[in-house]
This record gives sequence, C-alpha cells and structure tokens, in this order.
Amino acid sequence: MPRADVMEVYNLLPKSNCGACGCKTCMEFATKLVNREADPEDCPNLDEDSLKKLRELLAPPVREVTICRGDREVVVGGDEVLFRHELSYFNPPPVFIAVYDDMEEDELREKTERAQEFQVERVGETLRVDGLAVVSRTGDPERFAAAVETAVEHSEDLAIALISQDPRVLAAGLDAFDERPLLYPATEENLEDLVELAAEHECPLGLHATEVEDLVELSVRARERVEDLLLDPGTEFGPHDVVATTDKLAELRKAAVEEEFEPLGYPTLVTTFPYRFLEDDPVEAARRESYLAAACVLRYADALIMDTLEPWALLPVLTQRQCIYTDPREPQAVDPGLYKIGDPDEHSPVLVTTNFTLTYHCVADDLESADVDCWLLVIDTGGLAVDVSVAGGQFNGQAVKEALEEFNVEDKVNHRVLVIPGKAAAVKGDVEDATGWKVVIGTQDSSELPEFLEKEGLLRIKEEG
Amino acid sequence: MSERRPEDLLRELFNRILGEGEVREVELRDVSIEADELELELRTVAQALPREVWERLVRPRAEAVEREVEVPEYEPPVEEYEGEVAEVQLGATRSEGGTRDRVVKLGGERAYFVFEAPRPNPPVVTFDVFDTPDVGIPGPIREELGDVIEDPVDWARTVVKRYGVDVITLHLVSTSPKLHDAPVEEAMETLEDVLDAVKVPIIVGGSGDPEKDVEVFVKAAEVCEGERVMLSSINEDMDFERVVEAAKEHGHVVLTFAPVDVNMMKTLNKRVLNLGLSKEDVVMDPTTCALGYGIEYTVDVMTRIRLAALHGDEYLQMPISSGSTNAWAAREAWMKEESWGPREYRGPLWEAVTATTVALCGADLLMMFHPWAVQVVQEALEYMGREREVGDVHVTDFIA
Repeated sequence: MPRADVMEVYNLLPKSNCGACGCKTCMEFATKLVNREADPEDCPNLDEDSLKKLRELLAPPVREVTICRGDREVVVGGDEVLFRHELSYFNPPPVFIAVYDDMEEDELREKTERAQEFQVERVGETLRVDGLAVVSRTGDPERFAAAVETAVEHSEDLAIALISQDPRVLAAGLDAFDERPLLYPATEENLEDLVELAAEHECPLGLHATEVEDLVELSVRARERVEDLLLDPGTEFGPHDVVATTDKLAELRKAAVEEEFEPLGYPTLVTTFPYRFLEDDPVEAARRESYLAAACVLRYADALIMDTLEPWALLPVLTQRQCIYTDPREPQAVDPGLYKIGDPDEHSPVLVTTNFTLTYHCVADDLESADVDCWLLVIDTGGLAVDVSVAGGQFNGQAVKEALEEFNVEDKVNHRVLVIPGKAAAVKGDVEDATGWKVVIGTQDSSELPEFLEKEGLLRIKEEG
Repeated sequence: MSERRPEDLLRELFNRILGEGEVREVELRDVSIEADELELELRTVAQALPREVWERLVRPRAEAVEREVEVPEYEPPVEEYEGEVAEVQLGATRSEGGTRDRVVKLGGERAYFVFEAPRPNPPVVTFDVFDTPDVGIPGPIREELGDVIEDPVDWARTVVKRYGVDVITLHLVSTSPKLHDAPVEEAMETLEDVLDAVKVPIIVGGSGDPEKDVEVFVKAAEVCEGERVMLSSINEDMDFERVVEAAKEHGHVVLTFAPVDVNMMKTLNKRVLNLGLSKEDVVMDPTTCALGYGIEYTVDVMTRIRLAALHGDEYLQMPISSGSTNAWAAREAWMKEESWGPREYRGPLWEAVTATTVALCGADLLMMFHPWAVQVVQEALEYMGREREVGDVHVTDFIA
C-alpha cells in the first residue's frame, strides 16, 4: 500500500519533541500525520521547504478537490485506500440535485427550495443533499444563465455545478455564478474549450468518457492546465448499470491508489439523473437512481448528480453514505449519561445500556416509539455493543456503579431497580453486588422491551418496602 | 518557424480554412511550436465565429495539442491472486442421485473485482419461505405475496414459478421451542412436500434454537439423502459436530455462521474442515448487518474474508452467504413514517441495496424476501459473471 512512510515523514520534522503540536514527540506527530489525524500546519517550527515537502509526501493519491467557495463549498476526494478497513474513507460524496433550464421558472424554484430544505434525521445526524446541478437541456445560453440565477437565488448553502457540453452555455452560466462551480462534462469533443474556461475561472472540471482508457487521455490533456479535475468514467444505464458502473469506478480507483497512476488520481463523479428521462414511470426512475447511487457510494463515487428528491429514494443513498464514511478506527459511541425518554419521573424505570451508537439509538427509538417514560442509563463501554462488552469486561458492576454515581441516578428516582439488557444476563450478580440495586434482566432485543416492562409491571415502580 | 506576428499568421490560416477547405492539418503542424500564443489569439476570434466555422477550427487545434502531450500507457490494474474461492454445488439432478431439475454453483472467484476477472458464478438469490406465517413477516411482504404465506408449499411453488427463483430456503421456524415447538417429524413432512413441489435446490433453515436445530438438521440430512441441500446454519453455540457428520454421510452442504468477526469465522470453518468436510461442502455466513444498522461492519468483514481467501487462506476460501433479509430489521424498511415516503417503495429498496452492497463485497448467495428486490438484484448481479458491458446510452445524451 503506497501510503506515506512514517520514517520519511519523521525525517522532515524538527525532531525537537517540543510538544507545540500537542504530541509528546515528533515521532507521535509523524504517526498522526500519516494517519491523517493531524495537519502539517499543526507544527509551528517547520520551514517553508519542509512544509512543502511534507504536504507532497502526505498528499493522498486521490486529489482533494474543492467545489465552490464560502457557504457553498464542498470538498470531494482525498482518499488513499481501496478498502475502508485499511484506514478510512474521507469526504462523504456530496449529492447534487439536478434542475433543468427547460423547466418553468416556478418549477425550478420549487425544486431548488425543496433541495435546500431536504433533511432527514438519522442516528443523531441530519442527512441532507449538498448541491444543485443546473443542466442545460435547451442549449440556449440565456435560458441557462436564467436557470443558474434562479437556482442560486433560491438556495443558500448548496454547492453549484454547471452542466452543458457547450462552452458558450457554460460561459453564460459563469456570468450568473462565478464562485468556483463544477463545470461538466468535458468530453473528447469539447475538452480544449472547457479546459480553457475552467482555467480562466479557476473552476473544478468534470471529465466524461465511457471507457477508462479514454478518460486517461482526457485527464492527461486537461491536467496540463487544470489542477482540480473530477472523473466520470460513464455511468451505465440499464440492467447492467450497477455492476458496470461500480466496476469502472473500482478500476480507476485501484489504478490511482495501488499503482499511483496519476492521471486517474482524481475524485469520481456519478450521474444517475438521466433515469428521469429514461423511465416513463417516475417511481421506477427514482428506484433505479436510488439503487444505482447507493451501490456507487460503496464503490468509489466521490460526488453524485441525482434527479430525485423523494425521501424514500434518497434515504438508502444517504444512509449508505453515513455508514460507509464512518471512521472504522473510531468506536461509534454516544456520550455516557442519564438520558430521558419521554417524560420520566421518580417512579419511572431505569434501563441500562451501552454507549455503542447503534445500540443507544435502537433502544431509545424503540422506547420512544412505544411512548414509554423512563430513564436510560448509558454506561461507558468504549463504544462496544452489549454482548461484546459483557464478554470483554467493559460492561460490569463497577461500570454501572460509577455511572449511577456520576449521573446522580439515586436523586432522580425513589426506587432501586435497574433493568439490564437480556444479553447482559451474565453480569446480573456482579451489578447487584457492586450497586446494591435490585437487577431485572430485560429482553434480548430492545423492540420487545416496552411489552416486557408493561407485563412485568415495571412502567411505574413504587418505593420499596 | 517564421518571424510573422501571430495575428498575421491567424489571418492567413483563417483565410485558407474558409477558402480552401481541407488544408488545416498542414498549417497547424507548422505552427505548433508557437501554439500557446496562437491558441489564445485563435480563441478570441473563434468565439465570434459562426458555430460550424468554429468547430472546424477547434477540432484541428485539439489534434495539435494531442500531439504535444504524451499519454502514458495505461494498463488496467488487474492483480494475480494466489488463492481462489472453492466452488460449491447446491442441489443434485437425477443423474447425480437427486431429483432436482437444475443445480446452482456458488463461488469459484479468482479475483476481487469484475474487471480483474468476471465471477465464474454470479451471486445467486434464494427466496425465503417460512413454514409458519407466525414469525412477524413484514407488512409490505405480506401485501406483496398474499395468501401463499399461509402454506410453505404454495409459497415455494409460487415464487419459483412467478419470479424464476433459483433456490428456495425453507426455514423450519415452527420447530422453535419458543414458537410452536413443532415435532421434528412434522417439519420433515413439510420439507418433503416442498422437495416434491419445486425442483430447484433447497436450503433447509432451522429455527435458531441451538439444541432443536441439531435434531432438525440431522433428520433433514437423512430425509434429503442425495438432494445435496444446504443445512442453514451451524455455529459455535451448538453441537455442530453431529450436523457435520450427518452432512458428510448424506452428501450435503453446511452453512457456518459467525457474528461479524473474521477470526471467529475462520476458527469455525477450520473446525468443520478438520471434521472431514471439504471446502466444496461448506458455505459461510459472517453475518449481514442491515443498511443503516452496521452494514459497514459487514462490508469490512466480508471484504477482509474475500481478500484473505484470494491471498491463500484456505479456511476462508468458501463462498459467502448473506441473510440480506435482515434488511427488514431496519425500521426504515418497514415502519410507517410519512416523512420517509411510502414504505411499499422503501422496504424493497432497502433489501435490494443491502443485498447488492454485500454482493459487491464478496457475497455469493443472497437470502431474500421481497419479490421486487429479488428480481432487481437477480437481474443486476448477473452481470458480475460477464465481461464489462458498456451500453450506448450516456449522460451526454441528456445534456445540451
């Protein structure tokens, strides 16, 4: 794996172990740099030359490209491994929503606003779309400029992509919005003109070819003048769409990362919006887009241009992105604490669970959706799930005792009953001994909890005695 | 070449193109040395020109640039792997001692990505059939399948006929002591009825009870003599040696199961192989976490398993099976929630995305549930077995 070598990085550092970067030693800093947990700029004692060399050494094989400026800015690419378990993937792919210059102004404005407002809450995060792609359908520079104006005017922080094969249309779009929008698609036919335009306006440029070899050639020619490129190896449409598209993306990512083939060392671009025109049934179009886009999020799409704003179609794509782009080196954890579910009081039950994000959200959601009022005591298991932390010893009597004390649970309720997960049954005795509380073993799955609490008469716990 | 000013040169060039037609290549080869300066001048004039004239100018100029930039040779990064995945056959035809009309083969991969080598056997979908509808079958699936879920034979027959499914998994969940605690004999009757009713390979699923399942599988191995069914599944919590012995004796395949952990998967496989089954008799299930519910762990584990197999780890060189039906554990798949849109669309998509994600990471067998998802996934993943197809519809067809 051609990732930067720690020793090589270390040799460019001052080796003074001054601690100014927050690391105890320069070696520790070097390791963090290689793992992308620190920036070269964190060291105040680097000379210009070393800083430059360091940046080159640490530059990921897939270039990091910035689209737009200010509030609309998104960063794409920057990956350096083929598989996420080798490090992590960086910069979740932004989803651009297509608007078209042959739309009536009202329609365009309405879709723009829906894109701007789109949001879904999931596992404590707000999932959104990230950009607008203004697509020329008419080939008319004036209509295009008007569409860009409307899209920009009715959105606040969405990135902008300008999409036409005709450089004159794109130039008109740039008259309306010149804050580094993505220009696309540069093809065999229009490459020189689009390169010129992108260079002049300092815009990132998306290249399109349907075969990887052709894309190599476009890239070689474009990178003479434009640093920030995106590569579209041709999204496929039809029954072979998922396999052929992800396979092309995988080929170029492997060439970039494992063979350091520089002409392919750029973020990728996937376009699913044509399904809107290919399928008569809008539901089928959205389904196809969703299915294809979600697969491409797994396999190396760094930016997506979609048509659909249906939440049911975007949810799988945005969820896939949320999952695939978590950092596998970090435990997925929420803060330990005493969480209120519903409106609990001194008679409400106290349920114990771990701080693994997924565990917490599943338990909390199950209780909330059943309208249970209770206290949820989330203990620190280092982000491990119940069964794993019971086996690993993080879920034990001492941990529960400390949490009870830290979060003053005794003051919140006037009973002394804890409900622990069914999968933690093995530590019941240990928890009872350490805390002195009565311990009830709950259910294997949190979805069965509300019914269990009711059946066991635990929804209202009266004072002991 | 000359001392002439670029403007003059341009004028001359321009006149020739407009006046004499096809001489452009000769002229440009001459001027390519001063191309930078010339290009800028050309453009200014060119943008004011009528479109067809402009294109006549642009194209030759592109050719001129192409000559200057050297395109490095590109070879697709195809890796030679030392190991390969075993090929496992499910089902047996009459000539092989069974009664199936056709068989399926799983695995056999020699590469990770399709561009490195298409899969010898693209992923296979097996349709889940339960021997009782009392297992919390999600609403959208009940609605789609209708009354057939009341009868496993009807259910199996219908989905094979209607959706062209290649394999049926019959889950004998009624045997669970926590559900109906149906006697093993009763479950065997159902199994025999299904074997009679459909002629595709069969996977025999247990109820998840570690004790009862051993009895079910041992008996099923006997009842299915010659049919080469897969017993689904065995794990470290049960007395799996008896199941392995029965599979060996009657020529069946076993599915090994471990909870999202490469080493636990490997240890179990090793024990099973040491009991005398060969890689060609084993499929493994390293757990499928649903989209949104830990799918990234499954992605990592399956990827690591498949890479280990290709790099020569013989205890991981079995085809991978995925319980993609687990997608329905995600509330996004089944819950009625207006802000998410109709669950009739959401659920099947959730299942299709979950199945496709794991298939791209190496899964060879996909246990699935919803007819739409089954069809979409079958149709799409078949292409993993072929050379890459580049169609004639492209994004540029939709952009002016």
